[in-house]
Amino acid sequence: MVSRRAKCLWRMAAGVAILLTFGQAVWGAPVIVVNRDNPLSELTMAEVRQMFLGRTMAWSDGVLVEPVVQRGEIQDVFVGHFLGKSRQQYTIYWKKQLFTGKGLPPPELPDDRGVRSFVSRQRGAIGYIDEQAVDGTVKRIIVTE
Amino acid sequence: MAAVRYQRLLMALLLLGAGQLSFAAQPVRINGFISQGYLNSDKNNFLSESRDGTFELSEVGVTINSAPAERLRVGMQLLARDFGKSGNNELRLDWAYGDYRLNDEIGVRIGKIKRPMGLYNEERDSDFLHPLVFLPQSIYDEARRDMLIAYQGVGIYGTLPAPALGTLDYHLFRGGFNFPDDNLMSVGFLETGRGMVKQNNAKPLAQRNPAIPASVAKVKLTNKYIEGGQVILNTRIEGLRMAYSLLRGQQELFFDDSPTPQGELIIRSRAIYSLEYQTRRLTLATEYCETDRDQTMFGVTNQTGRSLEWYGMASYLLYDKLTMTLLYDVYYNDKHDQSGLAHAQRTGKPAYYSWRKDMAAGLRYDLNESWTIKGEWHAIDGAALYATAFNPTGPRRYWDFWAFKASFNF
Repeated sequence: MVSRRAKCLWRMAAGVAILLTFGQAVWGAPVIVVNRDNPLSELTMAEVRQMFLGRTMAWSDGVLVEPVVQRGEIQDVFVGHFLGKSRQQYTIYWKKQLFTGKGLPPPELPDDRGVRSFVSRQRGAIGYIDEQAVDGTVKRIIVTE
Repeated sequence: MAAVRYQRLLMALLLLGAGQLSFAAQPVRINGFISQGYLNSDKNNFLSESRDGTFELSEVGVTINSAPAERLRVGMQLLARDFGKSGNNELRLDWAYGDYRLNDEIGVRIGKIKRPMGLYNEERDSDFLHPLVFLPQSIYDEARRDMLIAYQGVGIYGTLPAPALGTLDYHLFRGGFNFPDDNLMSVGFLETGRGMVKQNNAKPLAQRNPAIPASVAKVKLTNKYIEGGQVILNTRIEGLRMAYSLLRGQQELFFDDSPTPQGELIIRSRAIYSLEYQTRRLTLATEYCETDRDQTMFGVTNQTGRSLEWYGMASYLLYDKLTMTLLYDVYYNDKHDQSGLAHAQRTGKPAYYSWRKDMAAGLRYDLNESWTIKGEWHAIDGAALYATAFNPTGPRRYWDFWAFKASFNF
């Protein structure tokens, strides 16, 4: 007979295992968000990449694109998944732009709340936050291949 | 005195910039970097008195950028570098320009602008931006840096869609530039001029070329014009890009303050074909270049035709912060005389003076986003690319060098 305590411990262990396996997908996967007044609801991966590398100036309505990035592990996930780069490659890319005068890196904010606040205030902004952090102040964009 | 004042200004800007970190939307952004290296070579000097070991391998730079209006950016970089006899820590304007971008397809830059040439020319002075201390010398040689680094003039640039292929970046330019008095090319030209003087003086009076003076003490280089462009295809294959760069220009040589030029270096074309493939851990790069040029001194053509330059480089991120790079780099002074025999017959110099083959291995360690340290070893076969100018008793064929460098940037 397995004691109630043992069953409880096994359930907790199983829960932790599931969280460790799928927690990234459930809570850590960044999603792309834009200002609520942005008419677009979908972007391709290539379009997202162009915007966050400073290679697309403006949205189709002429409003300047204003990318914003977030510090921390979420940046590693974003840079790897959406830009196809390592953190080092991404950092060097923007340093090349900066030290040759060809571009300024996007502002870097500390957390989801900071990014939401920026994106909600700037008409042309685009950023990324944790999926769980999406609220009514920003619009989530669907990204297709 | 002016140099000292500018150096103090540079240090003040560096300290000010160090206090301004990467927060959002600052009107003026100050960044900078400091690099210090050590170079030691065996058998031959490499662009400096490196056989005894030298710390004359350093850069200090401060960059100021601003976006004062929509679509408009202005910026400048001050740079003080020291590489052997070149630079000597004198503060100079590295680049400074205004950039107006009308839309994705077209923008204009006016000022002193880093020249788009190959994959890495624009960033060559920022040590922390590339995996090795020395970029492949066949294409990015330090001796010709002052002729290749920037242009003062106008450039147009942009990104064009190429739906089936990816996106196309382009940059076209026309302008000129100034050679600093301590440029390394002057050392080579002076050595060539002295060689011609010596040969001429050895002939009986009646057979001497009257255009060649009895002696030469110094030479000044000036540029008449430079023009060119680059297109980069960012393909639909993630990490793969290709580029084509083309350059043309004309330089004049003035020996001993002569009021008229006594030589010229015409670059009819310098064409570089580039290929880079990058994954998160691996970067593969190769470039091929031919430079079609004519060099004359005192009415005598002492170099004509095409040089051939190419390299293959692989960098691999071994661990999170440690990158290993392998390089094979080749330069031939004459594409059609790769054995150097025709050169040897013509000049009486050894055949290996006309090529330079470099096999190198290096490690780069990124302590964090600001600190980088590198070390590398190069094994060289050949004495082309100005080796004779820094080894007056005659460079050896096989030689090698070590280089280490630490960089801090913010």
